[in-house]
Amino acid sequence: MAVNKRDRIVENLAVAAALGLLALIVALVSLAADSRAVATERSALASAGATVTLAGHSDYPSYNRIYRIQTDAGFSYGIVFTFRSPVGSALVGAIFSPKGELLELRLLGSCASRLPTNPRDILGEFPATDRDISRAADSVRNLASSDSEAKS
Amino acid sequence: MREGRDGFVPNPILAGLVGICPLIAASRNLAVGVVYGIGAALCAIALAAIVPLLRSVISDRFQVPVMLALSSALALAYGFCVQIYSPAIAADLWIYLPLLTVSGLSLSTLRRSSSPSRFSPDGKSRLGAVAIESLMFFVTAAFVGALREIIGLATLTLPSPGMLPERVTIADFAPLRILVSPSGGFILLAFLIAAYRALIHTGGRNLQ
Repeated sequence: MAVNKRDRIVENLAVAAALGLLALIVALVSLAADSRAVATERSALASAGATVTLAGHSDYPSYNRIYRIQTDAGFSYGIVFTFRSPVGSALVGAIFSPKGELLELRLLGSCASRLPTNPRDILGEFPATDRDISRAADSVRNLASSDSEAKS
Repeated sequence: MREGRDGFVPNPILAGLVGICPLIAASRNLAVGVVYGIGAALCAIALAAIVPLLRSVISDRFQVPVMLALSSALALAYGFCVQIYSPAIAADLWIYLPLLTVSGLSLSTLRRSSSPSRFSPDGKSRLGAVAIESLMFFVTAAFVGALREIIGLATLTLPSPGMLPERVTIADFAPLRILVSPSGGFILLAFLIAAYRALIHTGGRNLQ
């Protein structure tokens, strides 16, 4: 009986170790995918002479990362949104001022056919965009105020 | 759905209705259909190759959780690969990328292949049957995606890498836009199932 119990414990540990190894492999793949996504989003948000750095993270479904865009004229913040509707999805880059004002929208990618070509018109195709944009503006304002506090 | 004595493997989507809900919700165009179909096929084939080996190593009480963990890991890893290949296609597939876990698991021959033996009682390779069924799943997913996009929007989105997948425009108007929505997808699928079953019935096959 004691041997059986010991065998069971050994088997439990072996399976737990194997599943842990599996989780580690998935985590490594996810890190590779994440670093690649950051590089892609940074290049998509960059304009001539701008330096784009990762400034913060978000767990909101439509955007995960907030970037700081430094230019000679000053700095702004950039977010890549994923907008979805029953007919498709679009990746949209949005540039915000430190006060949270939306300065620019860029259509970065889309799998939704028949979308308008103007990014501002695209926003009308997706039901939750206004809520997402205002939430992102709040995130940018919070990040900008914590940045200015850190500098002072 | 049962394999006949001649080794006939029925189409998993059109005959077995396997994984149709995520398939219809996800495959609105050719690119997404291809990527989803490849994912489900790869997960199913990998599971069919690994699970019989595991059955001889681990005890019965661990087989279901280990199989679920393995299927989830495969689906997650494939999802990350799709994100690297094309963020736009990954965004369009959204929650349906991790749901490949279910499609991979539920391909029906996989259940039959979870015996330690590599061969079925009639001497045919179980992995071969899973591979055929997975290939049919992939082809059907790509076909449904392409048909919905062509008839619905008169465009064809190619599964090319990058942010903006290449798109071929066939006409300047959308002939039947409802086909791109999930309800339209199910209507189209019903016609395809009827056509497939009529074809099989004409050929004298039995899907019971």
